[in-house]
Amino acid sequence: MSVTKAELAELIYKNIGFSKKDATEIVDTFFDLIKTDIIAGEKVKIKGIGAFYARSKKERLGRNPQTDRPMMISARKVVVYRAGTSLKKLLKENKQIASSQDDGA
Amino acid sequence: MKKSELIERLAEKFPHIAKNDVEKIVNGIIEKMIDALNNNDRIEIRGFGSLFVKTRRGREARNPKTGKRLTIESKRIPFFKAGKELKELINKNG
Repeated sequence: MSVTKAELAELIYKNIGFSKKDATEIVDTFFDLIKTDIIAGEKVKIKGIGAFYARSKKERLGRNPQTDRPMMISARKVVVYRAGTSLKKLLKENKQIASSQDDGA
Repeated sequence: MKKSELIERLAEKFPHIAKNDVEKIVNGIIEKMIDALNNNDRIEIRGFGSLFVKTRRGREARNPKTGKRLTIESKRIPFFKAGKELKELINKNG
């Protein structure tokens, strides 16, 4: 099951105790602020989760996998995420949870 | 921007909520996200993106220097995929 903004808001108004409206708005703003900074070229570091930042990619020659024709992939920016050390460590230590999953990479 | 700055900026936008409480909320959001990932649940934030965990299978490998065999254990790695809106916005203004 996925965690959504609605679920995060619910957690806030149930466990921490705020109005549903405040909770929803705060969750929205939380992600908006992170988004705005990434777009502005700022690195956003959230302890416990990791860092998000934008990186520019140069134009490069790629290939259309359907037609196999070479094509130019335009220069663009991408969002990079680097997991924080504590999160990596946690996932590593509790890996038995993952036993049912296959290699998704 | 660090977590402390995020809390400060949120507090400015919600002047009727005490800064302590904003801090609690931010920590609550982050904890929930960490918990979700630890349970292999996906986090999907519309407009922002999704975070999810992939599991790498363990494998037999060789130390290229010594030639010795070694076992690499399976591991879980968190990934982020930017949402459509974020991808578009980031490419809009130069």
